[in-house]
Amino acid sequence: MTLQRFWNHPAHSWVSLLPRLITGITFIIAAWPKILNPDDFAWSINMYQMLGREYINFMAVTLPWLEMITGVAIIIGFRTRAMAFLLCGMLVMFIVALTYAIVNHIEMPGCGCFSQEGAKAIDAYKSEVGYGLLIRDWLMFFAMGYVWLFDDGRIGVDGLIRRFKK
Amino acid sequence: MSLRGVPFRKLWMSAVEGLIITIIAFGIAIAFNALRKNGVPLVRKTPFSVYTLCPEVGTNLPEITIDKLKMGEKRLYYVDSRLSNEYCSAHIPGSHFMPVYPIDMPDFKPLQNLPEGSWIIVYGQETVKSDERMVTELVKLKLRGVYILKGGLKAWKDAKRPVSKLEIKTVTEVPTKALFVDASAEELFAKEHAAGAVNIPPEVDLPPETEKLTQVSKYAGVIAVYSQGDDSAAQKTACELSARGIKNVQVVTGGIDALRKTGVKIESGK
Repeated sequence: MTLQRFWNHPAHSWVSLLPRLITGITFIIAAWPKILNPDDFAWSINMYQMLGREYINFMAVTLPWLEMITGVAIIIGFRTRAMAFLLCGMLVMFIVALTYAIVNHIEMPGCGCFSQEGAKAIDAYKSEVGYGLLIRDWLMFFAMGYVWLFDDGRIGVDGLIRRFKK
Repeated sequence: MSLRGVPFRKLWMSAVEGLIITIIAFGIAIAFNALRKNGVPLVRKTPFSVYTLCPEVGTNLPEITIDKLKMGEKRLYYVDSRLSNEYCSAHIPGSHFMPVYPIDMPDFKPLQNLPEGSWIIVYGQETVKSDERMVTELVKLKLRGVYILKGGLKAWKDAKRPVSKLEIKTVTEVPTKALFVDASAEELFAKEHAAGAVNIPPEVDLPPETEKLTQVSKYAGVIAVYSQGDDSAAQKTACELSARGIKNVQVVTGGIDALRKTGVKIESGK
């Protein structure tokens, strides 16, 4: 099989369907509360201690909409490659942020202040929730990388538009 | 291995499309933020209030049960460590309002100056353990006779002991002679406010500024609290002032518009 045939094989669109759905739904679920409460999201961004406070609000306002639009579009298969490219970009950003938080021992879930074993709770968070999130993001990153490289949008709005034009 | 067959052009075009979609998404986001009621400023000028919560709560703090507390016992000094809204809705009669904020402790001087042999009974808010936080601090100050009321106000009510509440007077008619307190957020206050008004927005993390409290408490006449928007902020600020023992506090309904209609001079900001 030549590289060209492999690259354009229709099976890729079917293989990428499930990752598209999972990633899209994840992003929509993540975006909705952030759109409703940009202030809360700004506080979350602030907790990562990576961005100057002047830029935090801008990010808190715009990022959820990008997540929502890309989430919906990747599900319905509109501009699939472009959406996958954007999702990859956002996932790289999340992976960098999470890694930074874990490496720098940034306390994220609240302080566990009122639990007698607050410190233990934070450790548990880092090993369970922190790494879990990181693994999830890496998986979605690879999945979206695959979609970007191989899914030419046969299944979804792109495919319909192409057929309609023909 | 030859890379012929790799759709470089399509991949490149998708990246360009991605950039265009990002710009469109940002445009929608900014427009939505501008139109919505609780939109946030795009450039944040004020710092985030950093919670240095994680308060030290001591172990084996002294507790006392209600059955040991005789009604009318003069040596007992009840301290309510909850925030003002809780104090206003119900508190032990005669208890002293000393709120423990997430990042601020009250001034303990009144407790340090109590006569020898007094018992300080602290009750508080269960979820934030304001009572335990306060007693931890008092123990550090080596105060004797300090106890946490076991079960707090709920146990007190369950034991059928009396409770008091603070009634805040609400008026529709704007008083002609009063000190106006604007309970709106700082930005709204900066835009417009009644001439000579003091800005005390309701806070949950910090107490109101001491200077402003002093200014209000020194005023002998009516203190008229209003807010821009609904009256809930005015209610909260009025409750805070009343809980701190300030007299003649009234909530003026109708906000700044009511003041304007009555002919109160309104100052506009820059």
